[in-house]
Amino acid sequence: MSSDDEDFNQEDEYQNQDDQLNEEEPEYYDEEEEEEEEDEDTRKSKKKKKKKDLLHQFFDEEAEDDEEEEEEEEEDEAEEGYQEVQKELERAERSSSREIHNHRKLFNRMEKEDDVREIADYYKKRYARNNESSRFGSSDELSDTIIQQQLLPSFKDPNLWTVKCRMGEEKQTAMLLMRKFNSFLNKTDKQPLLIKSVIVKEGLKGFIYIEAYKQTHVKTAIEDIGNLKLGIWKQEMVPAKEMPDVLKVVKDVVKLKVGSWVRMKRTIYKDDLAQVEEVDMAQNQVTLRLIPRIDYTLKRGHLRDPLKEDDKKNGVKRKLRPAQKLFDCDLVRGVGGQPLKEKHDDCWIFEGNRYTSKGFLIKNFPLSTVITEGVKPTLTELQRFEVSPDGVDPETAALLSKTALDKTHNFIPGDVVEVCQGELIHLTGTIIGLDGDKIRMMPNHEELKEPIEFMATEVKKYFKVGEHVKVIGGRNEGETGLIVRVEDNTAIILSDLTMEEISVFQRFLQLCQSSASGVDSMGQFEWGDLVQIDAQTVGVIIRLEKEMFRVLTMNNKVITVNSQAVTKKRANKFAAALDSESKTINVNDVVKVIDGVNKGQQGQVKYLYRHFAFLHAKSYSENGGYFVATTRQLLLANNNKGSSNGGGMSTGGMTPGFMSPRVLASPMHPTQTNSTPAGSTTRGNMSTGNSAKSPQVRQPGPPPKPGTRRNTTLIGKTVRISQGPYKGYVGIVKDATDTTARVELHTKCQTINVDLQRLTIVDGTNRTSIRTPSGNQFATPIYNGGTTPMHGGSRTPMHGSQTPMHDGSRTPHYGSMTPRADGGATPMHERSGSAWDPSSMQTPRNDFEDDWDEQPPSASLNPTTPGYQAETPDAHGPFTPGSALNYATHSPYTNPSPLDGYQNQLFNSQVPTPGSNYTSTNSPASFQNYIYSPSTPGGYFAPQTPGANAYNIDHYDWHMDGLMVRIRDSYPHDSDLCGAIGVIRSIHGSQCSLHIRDLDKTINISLDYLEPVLPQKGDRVMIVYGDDKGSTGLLLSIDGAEGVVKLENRPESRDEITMTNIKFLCKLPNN
Amino acid sequence: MFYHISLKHEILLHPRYFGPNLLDTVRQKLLNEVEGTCSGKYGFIIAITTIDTIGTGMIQPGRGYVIYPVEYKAIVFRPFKGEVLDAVVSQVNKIGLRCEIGPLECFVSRHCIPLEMDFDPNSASPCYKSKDEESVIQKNDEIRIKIIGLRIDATDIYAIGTLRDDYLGPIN
Repeated sequence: MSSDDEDFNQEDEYQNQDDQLNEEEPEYYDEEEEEEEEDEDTRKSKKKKKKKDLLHQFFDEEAEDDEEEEEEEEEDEAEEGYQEVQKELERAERSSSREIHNHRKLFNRMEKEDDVREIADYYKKRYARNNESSRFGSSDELSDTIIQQQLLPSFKDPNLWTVKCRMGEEKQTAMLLMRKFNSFLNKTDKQPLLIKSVIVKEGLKGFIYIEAYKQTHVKTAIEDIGNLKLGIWKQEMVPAKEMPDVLKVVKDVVKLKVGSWVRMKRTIYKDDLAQVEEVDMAQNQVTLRLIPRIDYTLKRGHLRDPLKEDDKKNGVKRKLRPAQKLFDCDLVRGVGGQPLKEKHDDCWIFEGNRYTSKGFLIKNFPLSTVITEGVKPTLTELQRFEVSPDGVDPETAALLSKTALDKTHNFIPGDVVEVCQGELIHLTGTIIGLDGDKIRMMPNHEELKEPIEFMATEVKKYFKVGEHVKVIGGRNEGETGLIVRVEDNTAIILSDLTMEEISVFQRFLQLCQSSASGVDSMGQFEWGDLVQIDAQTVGVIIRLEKEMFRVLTMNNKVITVNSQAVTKKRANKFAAALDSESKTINVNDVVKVIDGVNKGQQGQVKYLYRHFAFLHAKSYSENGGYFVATTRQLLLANNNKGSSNGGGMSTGGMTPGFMSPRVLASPMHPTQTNSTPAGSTTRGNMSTGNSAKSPQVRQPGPPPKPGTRRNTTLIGKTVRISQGPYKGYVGIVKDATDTTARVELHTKCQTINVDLQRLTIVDGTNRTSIRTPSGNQFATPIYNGGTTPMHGGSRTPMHGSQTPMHDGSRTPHYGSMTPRADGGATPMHERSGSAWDPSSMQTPRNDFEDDWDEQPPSASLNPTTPGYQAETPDAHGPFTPGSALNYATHSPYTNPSPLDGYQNQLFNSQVPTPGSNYTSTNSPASFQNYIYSPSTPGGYFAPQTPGANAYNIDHYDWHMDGLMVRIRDSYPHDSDLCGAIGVIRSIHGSQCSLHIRDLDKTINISLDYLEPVLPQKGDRVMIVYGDDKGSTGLLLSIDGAEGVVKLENRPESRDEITMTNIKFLCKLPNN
Repeated sequence: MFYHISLKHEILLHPRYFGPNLLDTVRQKLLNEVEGTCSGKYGFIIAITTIDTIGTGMIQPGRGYVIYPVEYKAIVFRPFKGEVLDAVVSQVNKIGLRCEIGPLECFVSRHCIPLEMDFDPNSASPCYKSKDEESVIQKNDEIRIKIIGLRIDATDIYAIGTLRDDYLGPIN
């Protein structure tokens, strides 16, 4: 194995002879030289030599790099190296002694192997080489290729066999083989292994090479070695031609340019950034400019502490390396150092090193000690180089983008780029294609029509002010914004989201149309989200960075937190707090800050947390417009949101037209009513809760309270979803709580949960939306049904009047006045009517039934019956005989109750001008008429409500010309005429002239003695009462108490066929 | 820049408006819905001058709502990059100043304010002024700016401007 091994190595060496030659030359290195330059034969074994194991010489580790240097710098010693002068003296001596030393070492080895021929061979080769190409650079006649070919393996040479090996164990296996070889060599009972060498190639996983003449030799060698079990059966021979390739090392051409950035691999400057000042490729040397690490605590010169010096000599090294600091002449002198000023160069020389006037260290390093690829200087590092007293080095900035581009440039087709070096410098163009590092660009130039190719390093991105860009790298990745300024390598962009200016490298920018969504990489957090930082602290995300959030905490501090360190906090939509005037603030209210650091600001409440409010104002320039204030520093900006301070009936944003029904909406919830018979306090709460809701909420029932409660009023209702993905869908409420409802959709066979705020109730007939006045009218009875019995139960007017006192908004006076101011919709009538008027008990049946079981049986129950109106809030509804009968039976007017009286009083006292209206007639109908102001749609049907009208129709002014009437039996003047039927010819005041056809005479008769002739099927009739009063038509049929009338001369918009109580029809003469 | 252009819009009408004043309602609704809005394509719709046609309404199946296609002419304000406009300063702070050009909000970064003008946070109202205090920009001042960039969303336009050009700055 031994000498063949050497030979083989030599091939390798020769390949790189040129390089070696350079290294052979005596050179000066200012580091402590424990390691010395060695002959090429031994240089590769130097690491083993360190281990003081001679055998290790034979173990040949694959060269990582042909250009690897022999010399290694010892760390930490550089600064304290010898004085330059001393070293100069040593130099010549050292190089010669080194050679002698190496030769001796080599020779020792040869001797041991007592293979004379091998030695002879070795020397032959060695000196042959020396003749062929002088080690010292004498002229060389033969070309490199010939030399190389000579060295190629021939068929006489041993072959290389690849053996499979366990992954990752390659080196250990090689060691093992060596040990095996060694032990077999010394043992007499075993045949020595006949393999020549073992080669492990760095980077080649799972294989080792074994050099041997025969495969059997290999097999014996790898026998019993566990790591090679995989390869025990099969070894492949490397063809002779390919053998050089196995050990060929691709020479990396180091593209180091002056001014580029590198990092140190070793020495105390390890990982430090350095800038290339000078490159000497021939000598594999770079001169670097870096920030020195001088230990200013170490005493020097006359201040030197001998004790410490001893320590140093004994090999005790400092653990900590000195901090990076620009060279400071005064400090050095302070510790006893004596820097020398170099006359011609404006440099300081201290301890053998040169320092520029700016304080940078200028020093030579072997190329092997620097990392040249993938060096990405950080901004701070660059700043340290730039912030030198003499100002910015223009190169620094210019090269910045290039270094980072190295291989991972981020150009994409479509980018606009500018050529930044070469003869086409400043040419701009658009990238049309990419091929690795090559960029094809279509130049923006009149003369240049063809695409041109550039290296990625030759171009940089080009942006103009005002362009909308996206940040695709760096700290602000993901942001978008408009460029407000373009500098050399950076651009300042105005972020879309936060309205802040950020400085970004141009290479991290990309033209982009869309705006940032402000969602973090995980999609979990969004800009402006409320997050919980710790148990006590919450904050709003004001900036999303990679992995990190900038959060404005409730203490008005901006902190940076890791995205994993926070949890999203669910904002409570219903959160409320009190402002400086004790008015309730809700989320989304606009408030003014009247105290504190942000005094004078106005913003919208985004979140409420305890007594802190997170506000957002576009005009606020910091923190993306977010700021914090305690709620007591706030003042509600628009005061029309009077809901909570008890005074107003209006709710901000509600249109007046919708006001009155709103007021009318008694907040009482049936279930609640039942449970709290004395509901006065509950009522107070109710109204507050209700009015605090957004205007569109027709949410009957109580304010949001902890815990869920079934909202029975909604169940069974047909609703339309007004917002969200299911907007427009109609369905039936299957179940409901105070906040959500389960809605079974009409169209889809599906039941979904919907927020109540997103629902509008659609009633069974023709009303489309609960927002229409009629819809509200409809909604009202729901509550009334619930509330009234309660009041009925208590029965005292006092109760009724007291309740409103509790709650300003419900005071009758308030009620009567405010709505009027709001929109003239006169809700006061409805209000009072709905709350306390038994005659308007339009409870829908289901509610009524709900109440039935739990209501104490009392007279007050009766008035709820007519509530069927709610279900058919239609002009004709009340005229069903059933209802009329009911009403008649239970009417408070026929059986006057205290309640009745109370109502009269109530109206008389509270309304300034009801008197005439009310007193003019005693009929309940007119009373109703009064209650329902004509301006509300409900007014249409109100007059007909009491079915008792049928019996008292003569109280009405129904008489008209042309009607067929019968003279009542009570007619006193002429009993013959009693029962006679005639046609009214004309009416004069309370008299009319009646033409009696049978008698063919016309008489004057008081209207009081006339009654309408009930028509038969097929008769022409006139409707004498109700909506369609005065209309004529044909009675198509009679359905119970209803007559089906086909009307004549109807306007298009109205129905032709109408159902009317037959009592309100009057026969017309058939002519 | 202002344009007088022909535009289209669809009005969705609730059935409760069906009646004699139906078309008036459509017109009213058009004004409410369109005037003062902004579309990224045409800019801010300042005013409707004429309503050319109100098409036939189409009742939406299952809903009862009706859709009227309306064609109208309107004056629109569409800002362009490079346009020089007069603006009113609405806010001044250290990162720049915000101003309004009618409905258009515009931001002038301090990087786009002439170098000789510095931010002075200490005066009564924060302002940018030159050293000799010859030109001062503070809140509610009228300035002339040049638009250097626009961010155009579907429903909003936002501009950034500069004062670093000839004849830009405070208008006296």
